[in-house]
Amino acid sequence: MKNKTLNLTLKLTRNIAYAATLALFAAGASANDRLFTYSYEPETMPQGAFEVEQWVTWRALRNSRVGQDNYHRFQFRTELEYGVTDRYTVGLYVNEQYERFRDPGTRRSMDEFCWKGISLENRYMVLNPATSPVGLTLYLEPTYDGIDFELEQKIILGQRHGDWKWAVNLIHATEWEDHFEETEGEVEFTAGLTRMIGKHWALGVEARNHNELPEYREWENSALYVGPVVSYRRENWWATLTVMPQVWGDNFHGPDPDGNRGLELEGHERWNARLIFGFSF
Amino acid sequence: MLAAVLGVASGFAGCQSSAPDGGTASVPVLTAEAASAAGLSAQEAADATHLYVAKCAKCHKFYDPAEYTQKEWDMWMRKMSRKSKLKPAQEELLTRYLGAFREKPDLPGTK
Repeated sequence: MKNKTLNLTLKLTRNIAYAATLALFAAGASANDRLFTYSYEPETMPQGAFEVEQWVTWRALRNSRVGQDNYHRFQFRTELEYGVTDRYTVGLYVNEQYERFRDPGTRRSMDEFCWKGISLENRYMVLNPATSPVGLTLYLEPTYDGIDFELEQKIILGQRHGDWKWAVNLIHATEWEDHFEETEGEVEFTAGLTRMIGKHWALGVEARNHNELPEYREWENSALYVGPVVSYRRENWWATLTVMPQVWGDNFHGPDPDGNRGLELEGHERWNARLIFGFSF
Repeated sequence: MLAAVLGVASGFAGCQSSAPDGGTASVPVLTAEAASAAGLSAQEAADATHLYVAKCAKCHKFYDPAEYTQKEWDMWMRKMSRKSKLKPAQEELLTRYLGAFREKPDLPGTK
């Protein structure tokens, strides 16, 4: 057990060191900043530009009724983005995950660090926000880890108004699990509104509503998160952080599995937070 | 929630401001007279506007060159040209195009 914990610690340390190395490597480059972490903005990268992004998403706290006390999940994504044209951007992600919780039934702690596959992001800007009332970008991202395959689609809307900026994403994803034996649908809405404060800072609010539809036969659950988003940018890099508590959730099938009338804690957590560092060159 | 979000979104869309001569707030329009005074042909002015939309206005609002010293403006042009991966000819064209606004800060479409 000690060896396993040591291995996990080493893997986490390796990821942090990896992110730090990327930061140093890209320190002389130019940036293409994001003002939200859950919502994409319609702008795509300039043709010929590269960017590296390091994502860390923290999902925390379910409950003992669903057999997951002291629940924590860290999702790591490292992305290399490239502007193919001024309207079309591609990105390659490497995904990993660390999950830990305590099973109150067996009183045993579980933790696992696992590879979550690679993703190929495609973003095409249909309407440039500079010349249209609303910017519109379409997004398609397949992910494969050798066992599960996911295909995610997004409609990305957004616009800038002086120092204000908003974005709305409509998201659908299908996940084929266990070598295409099972299917799960996901529908998600995200939105963000932020204001630039001076040259470097932006402060706003971000919201996310996530819904699960196993086998597309039933609408299993829904959870709504709302919280602040803060962004800091320099010429060559940027960082954006969102911290969102679950403010409402419900489970629609059978007896409430988590025993919580106001939140959904079987497929979602009490807290979601995401930090993204971006470095362009 | 979606209805509320779309409501906010449409409200903002309704607030989209326009420059007096028809350009959007983030894409000011250089008059033919001003372009000519800056030594830009009609074709060059059109190309520069297209370039400005694709490389600059997509990501940020219009910054009036007249509000910067020449030294400051040159520095920002260099930085932003690097960031948006402009080729030398594109940088030169955009510099002349934006310079026209700098020379004539009272041009229509710049405020």
